[in-house]
Amino acid sequence: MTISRRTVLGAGLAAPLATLPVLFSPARAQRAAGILRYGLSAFPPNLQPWVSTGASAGTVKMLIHRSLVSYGPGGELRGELATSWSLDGDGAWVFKLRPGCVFHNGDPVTAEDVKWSIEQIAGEKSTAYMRTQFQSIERVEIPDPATIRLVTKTPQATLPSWFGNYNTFILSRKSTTAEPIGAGPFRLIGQERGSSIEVAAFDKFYKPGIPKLKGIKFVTYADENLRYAALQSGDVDMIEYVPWQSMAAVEANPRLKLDSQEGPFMDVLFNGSKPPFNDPRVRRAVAHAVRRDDIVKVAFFGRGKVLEGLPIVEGTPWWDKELAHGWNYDPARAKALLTEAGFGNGFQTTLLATAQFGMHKDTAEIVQQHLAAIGIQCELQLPDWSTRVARGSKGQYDMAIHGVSSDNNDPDGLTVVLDTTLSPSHGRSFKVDAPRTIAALAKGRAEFDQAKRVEIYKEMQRAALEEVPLVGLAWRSQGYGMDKSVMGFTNLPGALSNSSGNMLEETYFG
Amino acid sequence: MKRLWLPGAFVALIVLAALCAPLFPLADPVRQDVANRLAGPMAGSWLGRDEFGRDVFSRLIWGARTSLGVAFASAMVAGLVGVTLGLIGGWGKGAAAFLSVRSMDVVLCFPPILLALLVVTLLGPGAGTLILVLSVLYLPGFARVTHAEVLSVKGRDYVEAARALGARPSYLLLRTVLPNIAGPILVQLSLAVAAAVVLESGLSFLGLGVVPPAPSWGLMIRGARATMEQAPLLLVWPCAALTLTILAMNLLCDGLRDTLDPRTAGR
Repeated sequence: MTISRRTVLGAGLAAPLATLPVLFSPARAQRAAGILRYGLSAFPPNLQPWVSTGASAGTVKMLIHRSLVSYGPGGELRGELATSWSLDGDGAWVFKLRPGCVFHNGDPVTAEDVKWSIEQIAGEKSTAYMRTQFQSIERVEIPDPATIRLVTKTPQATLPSWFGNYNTFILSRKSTTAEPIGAGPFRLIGQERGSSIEVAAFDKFYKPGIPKLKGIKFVTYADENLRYAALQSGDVDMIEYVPWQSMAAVEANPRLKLDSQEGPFMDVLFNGSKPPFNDPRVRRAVAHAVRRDDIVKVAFFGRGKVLEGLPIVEGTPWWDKELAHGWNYDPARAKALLTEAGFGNGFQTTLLATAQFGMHKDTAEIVQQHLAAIGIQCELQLPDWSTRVARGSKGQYDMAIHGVSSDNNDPDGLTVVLDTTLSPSHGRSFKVDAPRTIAALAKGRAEFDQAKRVEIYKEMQRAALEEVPLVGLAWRSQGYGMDKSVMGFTNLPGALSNSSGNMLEETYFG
Repeated sequence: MKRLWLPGAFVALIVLAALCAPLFPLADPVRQDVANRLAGPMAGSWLGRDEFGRDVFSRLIWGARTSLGVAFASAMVAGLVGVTLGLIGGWGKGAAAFLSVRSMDVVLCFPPILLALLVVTLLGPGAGTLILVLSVLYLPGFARVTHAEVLSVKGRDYVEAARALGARPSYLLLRTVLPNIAGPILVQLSLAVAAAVVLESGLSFLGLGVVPPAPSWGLMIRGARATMEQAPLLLVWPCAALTLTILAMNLLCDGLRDTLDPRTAGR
């Protein structure tokens, strides 16, 4: 057959027509038996076990690695590589190791591996997330092969929870940086940079019958609307970070269900190294100026709660009704505070957020509007996320909007967001003076008596309300959306929501 | 001439609306009213309210001001610099002429959106950055059109005549050559404005253009996308405004070309 211009044209015209049926009846991706397809919100920059690379990476890391403890469905600490832990008479923490645990290479998990991992995290050149905390461990002792004893420089009441963090895993001594060997319920079997990660069940995992799935395929959908669309169309069985505008739609869909928790929160951070925000009265004026309800409605479509104090979860012993509303919306008081600080006529400043995440941008726009009402005119700066992070860590801003969650549900978990003497980070204020708050946090960490701790942390809240190391704005709902046939998954309560990936080991198709 | 009326009138209307935005009794485009967020058409807000409870109609008009302002400013800058470069390149000889035209080829090598993204990431978003980026992007078009026209015109008898009468090169270029090649340059200008409106909206949509809360059509589309299911109309208004403006501008370009091009004139 000779190819003429006419046949080529004809073929060109026919091609789109031929694909029409495909367009109108999209093939639904088929689910392989026992393989969960999970929509991640970001592709993990890397899977290094001890370095913090975000919650999405944490979800994957929790499945391929294990630590001494983890969080159970109710948010309580439960044993993993350790079965029990207690304080001994000298104030040291003693962990009893679980017998019969093996690494992915077949070697048993020994006390030597635990010691090695702790020492690596605390090492001189370590870039581990928990490095500072682990450096307060004076020495690691092995009284017998199934016991590990941690002697700390100062008393540490919350030490076991350090091991619940998804950046603190126990690795085999044979691990290399390129190839960490973990003891988790799943093994990493493949990844396609930027798009997907696959894990398969590890058959020698120490909990009988766990994991219940044969494997999980993580697919990255960075755009929140696309992620929701993938769940809706059945391309994935489950997604994290359900966009707030779509939560109602997930609930209304008879095929889907939503599991949400109010865990993370939005806040305002300050640069305390220069005027005007080096003055706590100005920071307090900001705290009293913002009507939080607007943020809950606009940025989170009502899926959140106002936060007018420190981010302490209601119903916990540390929560106090009066303190929780210490920064109530009161523009008149905000103005009075500004006048007292010598800024009666207001001032010009900047507000840093990011255009990359809608909730950050929306929150910033509302804060800007309310601050304008008391005379603080701020110009929004909305660079991309990585620039926002870099500028936050270097203190190149006046005020910044941030979304974060505490490390765990103990008030000590707030240290990472409140303690401005820790190394500069985009997640906490830059060089803001809050000596009483930080002293109270340290006191609470060293106290073992529950009643005394409650008092200390209430004192800490009182101090923070005056020193204002950050301004709380709103709790936000953190939701997982899934097909109704996905069973056994629990969104962990409060600040632990981001650690819920651990629950995937108990997830199954019903 | 007839083909110019309708699109011309429409473009004039948009430009007029944008220019006179402060004179109209419009609601403040950045004033939030969260209680009425996503409200449908209501008294005082014919097109309803957006996700912050801001008046959509007012934001459309003020958004036109931003979009067209950026588009015209960048097209003007690109036009001035581009025409100058084109004149030098077409008339002159030697290194200057070579560089003025070839340097444009370097800009043309980059995909426009990627170049824009790069510059915005380096300089930070904002209207000033947008004008800079867009004028750099449209510079080569002007330089090339001018260059080609100058080449075809410079050997004509009337140019020779002017030269024989003793006109200096600057007079020749500006008073003899330029008026005779103005047609294609004007068409290029209207094309550049239309394309700049699209690119400005695109960059704002990506969060790299106009900084909120200033209204812009691209930002409005971006905001409405999240609430597409709750309030689909919010997506319709800015998209319609954008589409109609670009359509009118392109029709105007077509009409202009037909009218100004000596080869098709008089038909």
